[in-house]
Amino acid sequence: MLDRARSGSADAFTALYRELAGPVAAYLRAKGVPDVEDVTSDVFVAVFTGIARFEGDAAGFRAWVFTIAHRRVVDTWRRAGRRPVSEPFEAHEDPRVVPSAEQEALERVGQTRVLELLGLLTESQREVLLLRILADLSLEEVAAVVGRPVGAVKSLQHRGLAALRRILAKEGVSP
Amino acid sequence: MNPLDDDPGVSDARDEGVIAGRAVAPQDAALAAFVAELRESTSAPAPQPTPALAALLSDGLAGGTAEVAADAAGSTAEVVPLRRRRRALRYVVGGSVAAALALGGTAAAAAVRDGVPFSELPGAIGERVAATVGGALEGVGLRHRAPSDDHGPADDRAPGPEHVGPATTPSDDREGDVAPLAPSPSGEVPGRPSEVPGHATDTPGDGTEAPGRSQDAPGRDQSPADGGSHPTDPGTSPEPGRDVGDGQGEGTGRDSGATRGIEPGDGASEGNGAGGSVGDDATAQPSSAPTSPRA
Repeated sequence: MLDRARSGSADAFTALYRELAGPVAAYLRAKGVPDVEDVTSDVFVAVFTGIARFEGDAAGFRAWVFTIAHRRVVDTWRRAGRRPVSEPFEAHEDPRVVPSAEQEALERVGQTRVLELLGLLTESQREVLLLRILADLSLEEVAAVVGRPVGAVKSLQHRGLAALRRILAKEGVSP
Repeated sequence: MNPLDDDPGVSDARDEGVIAGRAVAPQDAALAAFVAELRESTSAPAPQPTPALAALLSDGLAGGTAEVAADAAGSTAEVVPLRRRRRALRYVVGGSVAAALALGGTAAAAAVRDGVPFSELPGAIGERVAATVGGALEGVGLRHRAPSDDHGPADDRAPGPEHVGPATTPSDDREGDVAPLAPSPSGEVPGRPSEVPGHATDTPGDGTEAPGRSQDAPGRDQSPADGGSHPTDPGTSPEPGRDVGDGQGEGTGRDSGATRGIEPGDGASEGNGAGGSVGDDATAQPSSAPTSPRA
């Protein structure tokens, strides 16, 4: 499929989009990007117009897509002139009040709670966990995406999970 | 703190289990559920694509790579290549002018030194020499004396087919501008130096468009009176009718071509308003080429 995508095949583009648009949108949403739909499209336009330059396998392609997504997030916040929100997530302050098809599906108690819990982590911990869980990347791939050593990524993952473990144990509830 | 955290190997396996959605330790059940819930958010329907992405998904990249890429990249990506292209075109034009001047100057010097008339120089060199010398003469206000001088002696020196074509009516001048499409335009050049810039322009233009246009520049630059002097010069010219005809047929048409070719849009109105049909036709492709990316 990657070969066909490199040659500009619309079918291959569509297949790749169907496979990866959900994870990318979930990643962007969890990162607090305001306009998830537009940024998701921007990511895939960049991917498809630059795919001829990509060299690698399917796993590498996935990591490459999330590298672009990660950079788009950074660009989004840079353009907005502020850093990503690192304070705890408050559901009632969530600006995403206009429901869309996918948002309605996500507006479940569990999802809201998940976002709340993620908001309790530091930005770096959240970044690593999102890339590991949503993007399904390995430690090495996450390290490549965020530009940190693998050991640092592993440490951030461990501290993030430990923090969540403590919070969940204290609250005694499950997501 | 869990005692398992003290063992890096165990904690790593535990973390990886949680990341995979498995609860390695009993106390990780809630965390594993959290991870599973987070991972489930990826199964939401794909967002609605923007028009740029929708075009890519429906058409691929085969047809409109540059268009879609430009849309995606925004206006800056559109402007920069245009500037670079225009700058590169200026370099090409400048280089062509310098090369033409150098070649013409050298050949002219050799011709003057050796007493060789332009008409006897080889075709392409003769054209360039005549163009350069003609332009230089125009620059010092001798333009119309040069044609008459050339016509006279040229007629004397080299009568015959070389002078049949150029020495025609103004309406024929347009044909003369088209004539370089024929394989051997060199015969037309020596007879009428006033037409030489046009021929020198058109001849290279047949082979390569950009150099052809760029060759217009020397003629124009060296003969600033190209457009302005013609209406006033006929009175002083020995052959007013022909000179006026030359000015209208060649000067304006050529100017429009050169101007539009080098700086699309800058001189288009001049060229279209005053230029002949030959000039417009000759520059239709070059002028449309640089403007199409902008559209």
